[in-house]
Amino acid sequence: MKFRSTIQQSDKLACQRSEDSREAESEDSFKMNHHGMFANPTGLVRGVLVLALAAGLVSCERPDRVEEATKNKIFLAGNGAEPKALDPHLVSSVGDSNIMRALFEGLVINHPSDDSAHLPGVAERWEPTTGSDYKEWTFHLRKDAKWSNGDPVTARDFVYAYHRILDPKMPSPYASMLYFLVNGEIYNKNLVEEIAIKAAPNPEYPWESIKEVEFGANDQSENNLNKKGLNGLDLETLKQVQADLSTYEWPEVLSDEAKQYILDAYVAFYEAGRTVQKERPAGVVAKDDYTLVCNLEDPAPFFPDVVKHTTWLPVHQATIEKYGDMTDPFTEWQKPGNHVGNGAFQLTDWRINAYVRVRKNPYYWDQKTVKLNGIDFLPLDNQFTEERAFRDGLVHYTYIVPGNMIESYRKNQREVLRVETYAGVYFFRCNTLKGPTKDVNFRRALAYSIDQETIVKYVTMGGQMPAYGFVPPSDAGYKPPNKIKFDPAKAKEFLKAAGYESGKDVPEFTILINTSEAHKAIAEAVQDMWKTHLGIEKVKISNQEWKVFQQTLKDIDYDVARSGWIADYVDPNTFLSLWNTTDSNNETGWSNPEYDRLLKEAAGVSDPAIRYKKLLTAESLLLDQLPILPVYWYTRVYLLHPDVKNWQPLLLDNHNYKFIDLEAADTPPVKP
Amino acid sequence: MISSSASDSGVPVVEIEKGSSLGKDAWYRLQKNKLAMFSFWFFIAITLICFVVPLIPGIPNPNKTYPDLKSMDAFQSAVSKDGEKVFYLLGSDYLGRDIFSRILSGGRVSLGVGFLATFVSLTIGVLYGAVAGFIGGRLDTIMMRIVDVLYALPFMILVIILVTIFQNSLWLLFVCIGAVEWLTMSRIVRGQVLSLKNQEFVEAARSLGLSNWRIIIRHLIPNTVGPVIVYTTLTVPAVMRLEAILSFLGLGVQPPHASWGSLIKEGADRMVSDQALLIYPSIVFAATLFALNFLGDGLRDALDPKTSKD
Repeated sequence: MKFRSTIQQSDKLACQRSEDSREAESEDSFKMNHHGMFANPTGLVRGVLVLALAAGLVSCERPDRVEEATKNKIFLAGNGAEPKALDPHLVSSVGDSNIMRALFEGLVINHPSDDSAHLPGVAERWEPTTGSDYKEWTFHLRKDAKWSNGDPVTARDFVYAYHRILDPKMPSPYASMLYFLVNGEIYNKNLVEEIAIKAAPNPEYPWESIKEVEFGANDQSENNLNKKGLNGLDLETLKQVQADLSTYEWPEVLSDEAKQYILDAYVAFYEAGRTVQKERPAGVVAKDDYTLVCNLEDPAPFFPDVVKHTTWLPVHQATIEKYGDMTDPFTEWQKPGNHVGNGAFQLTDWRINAYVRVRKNPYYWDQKTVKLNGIDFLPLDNQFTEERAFRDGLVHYTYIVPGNMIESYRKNQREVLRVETYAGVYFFRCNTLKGPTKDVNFRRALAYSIDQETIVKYVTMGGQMPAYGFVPPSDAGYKPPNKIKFDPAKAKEFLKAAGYESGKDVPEFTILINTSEAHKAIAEAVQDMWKTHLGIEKVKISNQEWKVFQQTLKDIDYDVARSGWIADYVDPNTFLSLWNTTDSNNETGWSNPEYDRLLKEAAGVSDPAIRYKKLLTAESLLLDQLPILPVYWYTRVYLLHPDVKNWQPLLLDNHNYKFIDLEAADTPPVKP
Repeated sequence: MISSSASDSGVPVVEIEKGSSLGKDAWYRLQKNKLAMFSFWFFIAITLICFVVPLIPGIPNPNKTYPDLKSMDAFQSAVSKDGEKVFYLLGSDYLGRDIFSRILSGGRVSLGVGFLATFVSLTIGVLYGAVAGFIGGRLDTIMMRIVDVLYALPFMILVIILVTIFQNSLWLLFVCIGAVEWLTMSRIVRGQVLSLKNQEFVEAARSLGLSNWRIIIRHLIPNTVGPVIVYTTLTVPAVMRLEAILSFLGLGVQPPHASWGSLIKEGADRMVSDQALLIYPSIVFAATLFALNFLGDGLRDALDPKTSKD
C-alpha cells in the first residue's frame, strides 16, 4: 500500500490548509469524487489531485461521516445509478426499486431474512377465496395505514395505482407484472381487436384470415401509423386510414374488403363510445375502503410473493392529479415537498447526481418498528469511486465491489465483505430483428465461444457461477437444462452454418454496455474471445449512460447489449416470462409461438412438477434459439459497515429498510 | 566596375557576409538551449518508439487478453492456460494484456490526435486569421465576433456534444477537437497580419498586381511562421490533454483500443490494487507533455529573440 501512504501524507497538508473550508468541502465531497473531472476541465493532472484531496480530506482525524450518520441513525447507501424516477410505475432497475421500497409500502412486505415469507404490509391479512383455485385473492387492509400527508391509505388507492400502471398511455416499463390480473394484458395493450373482431366473429372474414394485421404496435416499422398499431390510433386517424387504405401497411394477402371490414369494426367500436378499458376492466376491485379483491387470469398460489414487487405499490391519487394527468409520466409530484408516499420513509430532498434523501415518515402506521431516522441513497455508478467512498467512511453500504478489490478485502477486512447467493443472471441480449445477430446460427456461435468460466474466475472474481443456462439454479426444485457450455469447435461449426467462411467475413457489430468499468472489462474479454475463437475482428464496444441505455434497449436499437435480470419473486417464471413475445422487458424482438404457448400452459397448471417440466421445455427452446447469450449467475458481493444491524442475506436482495438498524460497532473496521 | 577593379588591383577580397536565414538562426539559438534540445530529441524518440517498435515481431498484440495472467509484475514471463508464452516488459493489466504494448498503441492514438487535431486547427486558424486581418474592415469585425462567440461557448461541453453526435469514430474525434482548437490560432495570426499588411513588401506585392489571395498565401502567412510554430508546439500537448480528459470521461477512444488518457483512467480506478497500471502510462504521458512544452518555450525564444528576455 505504498501508494496509499503517499496520498495520506500529502493530505495532512491539505487538512491544515483548508481547516476553515473543510466543512463545506466535505459536504460536497461526494460530488467531487464523482464529478471532479467535470468541474476541472483544465487538466487531467489537476483532476486527479482534486480527487485525491477530496478522498483524503475525509481521512483526516475528524470522525468519519458514517460515524456521525450512525449516531444520527441515517443509513448511507451506495445505490448504483441516478434514479430514473421516484414513481413506482416508471422504474425497473434494482437501485430505483430500493428507493421505492423505502418510500412506499405494498400490500405484503418483505421479510427481513426470508424471501419466501410474507409479512403484512398495508394488508393485515389475505386469503384466496375458497374454491377459486388461487384465482381470486382478498386483501384486508389495516385501518391505520396513512400516506405521508396524513390521508388514510384505502383499497381505492391500490385500484387507482393498478389502473394507472396498466393504462395504455402510461409508459410503464414493467406493466407486464400486472398481467396476472384478469384482463391485465388486454387493458394495458388496448387490444381492441379482441373485442371488436374476435368476440364478434364474422363468417366472411374469419379471425384466422386476418390475424396477421398489425393490431398492436410494431416498433420496427417504417410507417408511423404501423409503429403505433391499429390499437394505438384514435378515431380520427382510423377514419383517415379508412379513406386511404394505403396509409397503413397491411399483410399482402388481405383484400381491400377485409381491410375495410376491420376499419369499420374499429370505427363502429369507438363511435359507439366503447373502450377496451370499460368492457374488460382489470381484475381488481375495492369492495369497500379496506377490502381489495384481485381476480387472476391463471391460478397463482405464489400471488402474495408477486404483490411484494414495486409495481404493485399504491400511489396517492390527489398528489398525482394535482401536478398533471394520471398518465403524465414525469411531473412535479416526484419533487421533494410534493412527493407523497406511504412507506416507512418520506422524500425530503433529491439532488441530481448527489443524493436522494428520505427521512422517517411521521404518519407511518408501524412507527415503533422503524429504527432508522432516514436513508441517503447515493448514485455512485463508478464501482471504484464507490469502493473508495466506503474505505473513506462515506457510505455504510456499497451496491457492488470491484473485482480487483475482493481479494484484498478477503484478506484484510473479512467482516465488511459480504458474498451471498443472489437470484440473478448476467447475459447479453441479441437483436433478433436486424444485423448479423438476426441469424440463429450466428447467435449460437457467439454463445458457444464465450468462455464463462474464465470470466467468472479471472474477470469478475466474486464467486459467481458460470451460466450454462438462463434460470439460476435454486433449491426450489427447478433444474435448468445447462446447455450452453463453452465449446469453440462447436462455435466454429455454427459460424459456418451461419454462412461465414471465417470470422473475417462477419460484418461489423457493436457490444453496447451501460457505463461501468466492470461491464467494460467483461465486454473486452468477450470481444477478445470472439476474436480468438471465431476470428471475428470487427466488434466494437460502445457505452451509454444508464437512462439512455435503457431507452436504446427499449427501441431494440443495438446489436448485442449487456443485460442482467434479477428475480422479482422466487420462481423460474420470473426469468422465463421475459422472453414472451409480448413482455415489455423482452427487448430483443425475439418471438416464438411455441415458447409463448409453453409458458401459457405452465401458467395454467398448479402442480409444481408438471409446471417445472413445461418451463424446462420452454427454457431448452430458449437456449436453442438463443436470443440471449448467458454469461454468469450472480452472487451478491458488496461491502457492509459493521454498524449496520439486522441486515440478513436475501436471495432477492429486497431489504425492508424498516427493520434495519444502526448502532456503533464495538470495534471500528480496520482500514486496509 | 567594382568587381573588376578589386580583382585587378589585388586588394584582398572582402568576404561579403553570407546572410543567414531566420530558420538557421533559430536552429542555432535553439541548440544553445539544452533543455529544449533534450525535449526535442526525447519527443522524436517517443514518437518513433510508438510508431516503429510495434512493427517488431514478438511485441505482443495490445488487445490480446489472457485473463488468467492478469496483474503480472514487470519483467515476467508466463504461460497462459492455452499454452502461449508471454513476456511482460511492464507487467499486465486486469485482463492480462501487455501494459508495454498498450502504452505504445495508446501513444499512437494520443500522438495521432495531437498531430491531426493540431493540423486541423492550424489550417483553419491560420487561413481564418490571415483573411480577417488582411481584408480588415467590416469582414474582419464579423469574423472576429464569430470567434468571440465560439470562445464564449463552454468548450468542454461543445466537444462532448460533437463527440456524442459523431460517436465511435476516432477520426472524427480528431477533427472535432481540431475544429474547436483553432480559435486562439486565428487571433494570433490576425494580429501578426495586421502589423504586417501595411509594410512595404505588401505594398510592393500589391503594386505588382498580385491578388489578395496570393498576397495572403505567399507573403503574409510565411511571415507569421514564428508565432505559429510556437503556438503549434503548445497546441499539440493541449490537444493530447483534451483527448485524455475525454477518454477519462469515457468519451474518447472506444475499448479495447487505448489512448494514454484511457490507460490513466483505467489505472486511476485500480490504483489501490494495481499501481503499475497508473504509474507507467502517467510517466510517459507527463514526460511527453513536459517535453512538448519545453520545446515550445525554447522555440519561442529561438524564433523571436526580442521577446525572449522578459
